[in-house]
Amino acid sequence: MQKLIETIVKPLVDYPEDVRVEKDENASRIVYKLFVNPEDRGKVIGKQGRVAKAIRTIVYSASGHQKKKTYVDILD
Amino acid sequence: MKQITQTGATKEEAIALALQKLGVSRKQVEIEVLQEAKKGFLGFGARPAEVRVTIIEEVTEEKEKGQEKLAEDGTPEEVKASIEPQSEQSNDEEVQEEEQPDPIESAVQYLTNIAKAMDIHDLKIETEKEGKTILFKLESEKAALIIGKRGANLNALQQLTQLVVNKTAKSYVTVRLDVENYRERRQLALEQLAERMADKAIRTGKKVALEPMPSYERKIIHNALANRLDVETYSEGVEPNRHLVIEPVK
Repeated sequence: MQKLIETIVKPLVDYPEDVRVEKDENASRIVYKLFVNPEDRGKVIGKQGRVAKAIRTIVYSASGHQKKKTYVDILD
Repeated sequence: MKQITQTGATKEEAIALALQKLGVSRKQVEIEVLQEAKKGFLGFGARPAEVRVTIIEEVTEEKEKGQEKLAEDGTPEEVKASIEPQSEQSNDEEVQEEEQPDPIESAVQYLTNIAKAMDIHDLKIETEKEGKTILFKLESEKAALIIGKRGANLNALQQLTQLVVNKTAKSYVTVRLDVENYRERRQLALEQLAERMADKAIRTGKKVALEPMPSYERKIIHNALANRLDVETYSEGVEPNRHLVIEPVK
């Protein structure tokens, strides 16, 4: 799943080498923390969160088979 | 057999543009008019003409006659003349684009990589370029996963691909994704839904609100109901929750 997020995000940003995804899992949920270069933050969020929404749509559907709720957080 | 679909302000313009793109004469092709141009009212309900042009290998006499007939009732010479210089320009642009790293190629690579990460390994992609729009036709056993609920995944991928393409492309392009004719089927389904909901609005005498949809899906419904005089359509709310409302006219 980390690989999927990286695959989606890297071509969108100016500093692909700064893209990092961390998995934070506890009993009820999995949170994927997406780190990007501060300059790229706008690019992965998009106008009105449009890009972030698109990324989440795909990640959620790809992880839909798991029982735990999945989240994608964008951090820098 | 080579085939392209072309839109234009009029039927004649669409045909002339298509012939320019294919670089063939009218006698070498078969022309099918998919949609006549409509002027609409105050720019509402206006539609461009759409033609499908297929290159035929051998020109039979019958077809030749047919084409000539089309030429007679259609194209005044000035129309052809006014279109040609434009098309030459766009040819030049295409040549220049090819020298740069190909945005289409990078988009295909992008989609394939995402598909692989989603555990889809049999993805096939065909591309078609039509003016400023690039159409990607995808094929896979797992089409349902690519489409998602009511096209949510397909729309998300379309948006992301558009960003990737425009990162490398020189001029702004629109990206359209389609999986196994989903878009066409969706359009039909939406048109049927539109009729049904309009009937419901009339029957109950109340307005009917539809679920939120992206702009081009709303447009399909607006267009489908543009000719009905007994209902009015408009959109309410703010993206991404903007939705269409059908109201009976009293």
